[in-house]
Amino acid sequence: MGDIYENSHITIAATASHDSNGGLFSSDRPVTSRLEKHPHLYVRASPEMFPTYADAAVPASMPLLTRAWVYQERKLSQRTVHFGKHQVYWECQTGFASEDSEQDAMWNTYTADLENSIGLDWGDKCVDYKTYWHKTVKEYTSLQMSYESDRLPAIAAVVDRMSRLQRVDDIYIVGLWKDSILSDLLWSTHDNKPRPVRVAPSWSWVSAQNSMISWDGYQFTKETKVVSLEYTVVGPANLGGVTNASIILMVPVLNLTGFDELDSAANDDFWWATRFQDISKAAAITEQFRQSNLGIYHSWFSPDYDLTTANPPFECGCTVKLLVARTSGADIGGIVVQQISKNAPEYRRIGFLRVNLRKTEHKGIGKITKKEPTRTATAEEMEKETARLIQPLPMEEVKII
Amino acid sequence: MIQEWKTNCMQHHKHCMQRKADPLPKRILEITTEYVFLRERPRNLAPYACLSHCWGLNGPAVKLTARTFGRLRDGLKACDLPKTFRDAVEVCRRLGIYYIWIDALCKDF
Repeated sequence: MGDIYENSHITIAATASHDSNGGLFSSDRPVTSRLEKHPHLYVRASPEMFPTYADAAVPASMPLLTRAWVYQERKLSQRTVHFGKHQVYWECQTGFASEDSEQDAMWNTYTADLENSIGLDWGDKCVDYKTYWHKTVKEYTSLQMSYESDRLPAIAAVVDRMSRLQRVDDIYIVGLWKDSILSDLLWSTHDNKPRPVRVAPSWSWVSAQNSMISWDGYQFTKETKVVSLEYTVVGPANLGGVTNASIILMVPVLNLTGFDELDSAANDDFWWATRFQDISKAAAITEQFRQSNLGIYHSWFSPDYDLTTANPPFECGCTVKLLVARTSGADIGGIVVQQISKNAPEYRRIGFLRVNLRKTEHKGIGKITKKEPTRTATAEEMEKETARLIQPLPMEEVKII
Repeated sequence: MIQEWKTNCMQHHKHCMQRKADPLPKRILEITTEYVFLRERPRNLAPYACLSHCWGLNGPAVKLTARTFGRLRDGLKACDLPKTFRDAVEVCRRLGIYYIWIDALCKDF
């Protein structure tokens, strides 16, 4: 279906219409009034801004731009003319224009500008396909979808184009690309939505249903390797559907054992809430942190979904591990996985942990309290320190399903 | 205004595809003065437009089904189409484009 939009001369977008009865043309003009003292001057309400792709705040007058299905129609079209409530907008592979010229712009197709650029940067010239895909998923997952089962189909035409033009020899697996899988695995979400049924392997962002996904610059260490990646393909390649998928990583691991000492009898929502806050604290009381001269300044655990809806529910006494990754600065963190059941060889991904570190003068103290003096270390110093913290961690093979 | 943007894009944008005629999709609506006709497997090349629109809760009142296929093939008055489709057909006419692809009328359901 994607080639239909790609080959078309122009796409006409009913941007302001909620359904097929709304029409394209609007007689609605912005409120204007004449200035009393200067009768030749008029003022009008400031026009609504045309939203950027990753903009969570799409104006209510542009319902079309909130729909996930429309994302690829827009991305693939050569040129689109948007019929808005107050004016007409033009969007093509080169630039953007509107009747009032308020946001007229030319796109950049270069990686450095990907984050800031407002729109249709196809990025055929963009070298960093990995970043480009992360940006695509972030934009796409910020949109609304009526049926969660459409999650992979509604982006398939974009995938198709990428595998045709950019990632020719690559393989697409449930929303991730094989060539960049170590980086693609490091997604996270803040949405905490329920997960009634399992639709994808827990390591794929597709499993975090209805959630906005992003990548925050985390990378696995260069020692981290994919030991095996197994799956059975279901359906066409551009959908990336799989069953029986598992991935085995050889990765530095931090066992998060500290939080498991809570009273497991009170198994209610509150208990869950405290339990997962404790995941972020657990890192602080591990031996590695005790021995280093780094303190945790701030740490935050983002569950992949509302973990109280986990199916099967969590058992107490299952091992929880942090598969350690880091940013280029003073942050460590990574994927948090939990054993499927006691003594099971498999793990499922449950969330993402971020830990911001500061150097402390007091050796042997894990968590920095407010009274302790902290010294601002230089970026290079911090990078070395965090590397020193990760370096002695045991490398383990972890199988995630 | 749209015509002006389009001309500018066609003449000056080196990153935009500059084809004057496109291979038509396997089903497409042909626009005449009063009617739209559903054409199957057209052989000719011609510029065509696509419509990007919200379906709304119940979807468009006219959809391509086994029941409506004959009517669409024999031609439907543009004024009998849902308003958004009608307006899109009108925009095409003014831009001098005589083919339009609308998912609801060109895809199997």
